[in-house]
Amino acid sequence: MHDMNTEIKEYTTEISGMTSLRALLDAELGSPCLLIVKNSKLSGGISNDIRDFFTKAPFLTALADDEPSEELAELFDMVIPADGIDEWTARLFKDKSKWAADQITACFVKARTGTAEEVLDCESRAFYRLMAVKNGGGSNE
Amino acid sequence: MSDIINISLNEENGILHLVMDAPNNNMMTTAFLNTFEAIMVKVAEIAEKGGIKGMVIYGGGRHFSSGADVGALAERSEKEAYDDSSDELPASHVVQKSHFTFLRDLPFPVVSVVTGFCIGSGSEIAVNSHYRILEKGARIGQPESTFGILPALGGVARNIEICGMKNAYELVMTGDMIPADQAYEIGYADIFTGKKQGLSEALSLIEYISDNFGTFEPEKYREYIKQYKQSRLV
Repeated sequence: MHDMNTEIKEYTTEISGMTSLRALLDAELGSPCLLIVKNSKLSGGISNDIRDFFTKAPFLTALADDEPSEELAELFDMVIPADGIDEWTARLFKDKSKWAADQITACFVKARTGTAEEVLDCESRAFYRLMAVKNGGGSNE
Repeated sequence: MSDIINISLNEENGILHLVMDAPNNNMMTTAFLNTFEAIMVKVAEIAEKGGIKGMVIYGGGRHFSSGADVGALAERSEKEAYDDSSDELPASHVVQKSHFTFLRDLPFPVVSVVTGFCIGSGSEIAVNSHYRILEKGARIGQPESTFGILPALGGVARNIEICGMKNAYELVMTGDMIPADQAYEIGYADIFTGKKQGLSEALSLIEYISDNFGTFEPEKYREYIKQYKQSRLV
């Protein structure tokens, strides 16, 4: 079994070689839009603190696995194909600043536990922040 | 003059037909949005009176809508005061947004029949409807992020609800336009039909719901379409 490897990129943090999700609890993950767990043979139960991690994560979580267990698929925000991750993420974040990608991603994170009304509110606020920058104002870029 | 916006609302056999036939493939200019919002006020009044079985929304020409005029949108939002530190969103935005999102709360099924392009804010009309019927050749997309913004008339929230997190994230983040068959695969479209069949399918769906369920309960919209589709298999 190879060791766990964490790669912190601008938009994503990619973790491979993981054997237990428990390792996420103490890992340095940076501030990604998307945490991607790939090339990992995950075993062991899913304890409450792990569920808590996935519920409260301030970023989206993706499991890159072509045949995930139902339990794991439900834990992550999304399941993506095991191959082609670089191309997929490049397509997602093309021509976007990290700040802009964060603004959009925040609405999706909100949708994990929030009501539809809360997501509708989040998208409106993100719109005005993004538009302020687009119009040459704001200082969040 | 392109400021003449032709959006009509007519009732036929208890079903409202909202037909968008505005310039530039229903480009959602300020004039378009003003007209659309005025019609939504009428829809709300009609809904209040009762007796409506459903509403279909479609384009009078080849396209559902080519989406917002981003330049006009930027100009408008520049005039709207928004202080991120306060809880207050611009009142004009709140009102405008309510004229999109309230479609989901209407006491009758709202079906968007999508032909041609259905882009940006046009797509937000569709995703705020209970159901979307896409004809072959239609293409949908939420390209706002490619212009540095995001869909804020329900486009994020509703796409997540109908397409799931991954598909919605891809739609919103990439801004890609996708064809009708793919839109059906990801859940955006409830029904995928051949050309010129969307409207009759929509009317059939509305009649089915009216005949079989009587009172339409918006929160049960998924249940209704599931049973309708099952009935079509028999």
